[in-house]
Amino acid sequence: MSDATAGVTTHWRARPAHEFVSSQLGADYAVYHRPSGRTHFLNAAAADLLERVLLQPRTAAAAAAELAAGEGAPGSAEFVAVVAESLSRLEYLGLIERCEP
Amino acid sequence: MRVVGELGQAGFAERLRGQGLGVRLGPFDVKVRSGIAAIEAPLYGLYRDYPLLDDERTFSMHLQLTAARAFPRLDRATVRLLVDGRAPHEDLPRGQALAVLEWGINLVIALRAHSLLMLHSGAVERGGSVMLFPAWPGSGKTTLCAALVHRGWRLFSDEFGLVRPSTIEVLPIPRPMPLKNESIDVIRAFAPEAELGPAIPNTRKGTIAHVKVPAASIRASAHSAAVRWIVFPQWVAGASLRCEEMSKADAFLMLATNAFNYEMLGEAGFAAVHRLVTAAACYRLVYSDLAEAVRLLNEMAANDASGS
Amino acid sequence: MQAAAESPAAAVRRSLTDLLRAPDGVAALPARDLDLTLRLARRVRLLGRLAERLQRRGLLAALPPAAREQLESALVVVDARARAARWELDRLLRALRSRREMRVVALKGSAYLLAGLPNAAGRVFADVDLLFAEAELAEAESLLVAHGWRGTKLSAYDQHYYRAWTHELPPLVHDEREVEADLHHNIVPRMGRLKPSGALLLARARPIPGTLFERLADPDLVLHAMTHLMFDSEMADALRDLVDIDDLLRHFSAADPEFWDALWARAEELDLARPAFYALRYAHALLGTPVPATVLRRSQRGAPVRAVVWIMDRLVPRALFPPHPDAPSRVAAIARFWLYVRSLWIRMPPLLLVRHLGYKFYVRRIRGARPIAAETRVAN
Repeated sequence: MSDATAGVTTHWRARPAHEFVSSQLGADYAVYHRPSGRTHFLNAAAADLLERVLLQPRTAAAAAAELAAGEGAPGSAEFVAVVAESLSRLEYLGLIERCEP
Repeated sequence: MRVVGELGQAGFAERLRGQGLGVRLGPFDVKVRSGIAAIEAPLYGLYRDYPLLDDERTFSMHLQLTAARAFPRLDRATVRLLVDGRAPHEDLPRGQALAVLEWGINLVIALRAHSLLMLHSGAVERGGSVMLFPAWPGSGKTTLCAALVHRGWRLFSDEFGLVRPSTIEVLPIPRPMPLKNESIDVIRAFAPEAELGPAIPNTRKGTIAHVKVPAASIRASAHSAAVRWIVFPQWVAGASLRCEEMSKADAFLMLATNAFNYEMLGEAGFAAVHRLVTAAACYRLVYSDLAEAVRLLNEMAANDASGS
Repeated sequence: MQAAAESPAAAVRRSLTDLLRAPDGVAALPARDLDLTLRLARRVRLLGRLAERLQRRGLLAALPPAAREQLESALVVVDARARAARWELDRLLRALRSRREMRVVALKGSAYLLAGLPNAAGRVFADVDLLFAEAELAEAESLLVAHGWRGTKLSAYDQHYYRAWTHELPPLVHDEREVEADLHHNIVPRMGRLKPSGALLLARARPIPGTLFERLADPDLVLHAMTHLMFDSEMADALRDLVDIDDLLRHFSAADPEFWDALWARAEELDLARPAFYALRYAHALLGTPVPATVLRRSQRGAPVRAVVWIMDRLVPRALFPPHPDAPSRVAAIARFWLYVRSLWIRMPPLLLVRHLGYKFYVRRIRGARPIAAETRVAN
């Protein structure tokens, strides 16, 4: 529940790296977001999005492709949908933003 | 340094009623005034080993218990807690005055002491290392602390794990341990030598009795120490003893959500919790037999001492 | 009468006056006096301000541990609240400008924070206050609701009463956070005697550099603080609100010698001469604000009859300084007293006074047990 629905051409980017402090705990990551003061627990894929994939503007499809490539696995429409939902969630939490391509 | 016991009970009561009693409780210098005669004897018993403070100082907090009356009828006798002259909560039955004071001190610590990361946790020390028992429903941490403290461990606290963020050392704040309901009898049986304050019935947590802190723990309250073990206890009726390592991620989440002021501390809180769960061995402990659990924890400490 | 030890009230007054006029001196106080100062500073919500000042001057480290820890703890709270306020403003702006470039004017603490004004230092921020054109208020509200903000639970009757009586919407809170956002279209109650025009305020509003927010023009910012002191202030906050006014007056007048004239002219233009008269008078008398004699004379134009001023001169200081923390507390009497003082200030007719009492009662009942409320009473 929040913003206008993102479309296929919506581009996303992570907020600047200096806003985050991240620490790996086993397979997961605890990420402290300085501006909000909140701590988030992310799995490897979400952390990858934040720290690598979304360093430049990407659409949901492009982000999914990057993630899948990193895993060495082919993407699928289903996967893209899952990634799109994660992007929405990360946006709601204030960790990523929509931007120009 | 003088201790409270040097006043004698009469002198103690006079202080409480007059200028107020100054005591050192770990890192906090506390001033207490009370007009409630019924708590003077039990409070003296529980507090007699604490350092006694004069008034030429800055205190960490000032609390006062006053006898209030909701309506002018004997059966409505109440006690009012005042912090700097204002009541932080509604009046309670006068018979609970001792518990009201102890909870009141907890409240003020939790609201004010943000130069420390305050974990909602028990903490005991052995061989120079601290074992933390973070609170979660059914943990029984107070009962566990009360037991361990009568089996060779030093009490830091049954309620507050006070962590200095810059060094992640834990500061002792040994205070009377409030046992609830059945735990009172369990500890009486486990440690007959333990000194208990009066049983206080009908509080919102049931019947409460406070275990006096052993004098040795109070005398050592200036000595902080590092955390070596973080144990998440769970008492389950009839369960067999089980102690399993916990993932660092789970431990981080549980510790952060069990802190009083994690969010308040921001990045310093994040860094401190990370360092704590990384430096310490983290376990989940399930038990039903207190003696068994105590033996296991003693072994854990002994193995560690010989292994390292 | 024999030579008496200082009365508790006199001790309070001396302690707080020294704190406000010579804060660095606090670091050199005997421990017992320092104890009282810290208790009082906490009571009047100035502990963070004192802590920030002493830290900046390098005076914290030498304090006795019990004092140092309290002040360091206060700084942690200050930082946490500033962070929460900044983030809330970030999120609000994003939502409000998601459709078009809506004008968003930050008020009070939010403005001080964003503009880096001197009274932002050491402040414990609570709510966020924003000003909109009256015609845009509904749109602002609907945008926020669409982005996850919710009103506090009010009955239809309470909603109507709140909207009709006050100059703001019932507060909004985001699902995920606790900071309240108060949306205003003016700076005094709609049904109050005074009628400053929201449009006049907006016309002079100016951008806050480095942000997409605006704030009120310098004189308007100060006049808002003065109006707040008279109309909205809780008694425990009144001294701090006066300190805000003192800070702002010193800051703006130092930068612009024309400021005093502009201030008074604007006070009359906005029909806020009465609050301005009182604020200037008591800031000058109690805090030593360097108000030029000419301005004080001119401000007499906003004064009530001399008899009322005489009463106020005796009542206001009593109201601004809290009772000694060891003295028996008479909360209800104190609250009534403050209401009485305020009713004289704003000369509310008896009927409106009854309604005003009702309004405050509703606000407390509606806002209920705010997460911050219990905390701030003993902590901040």
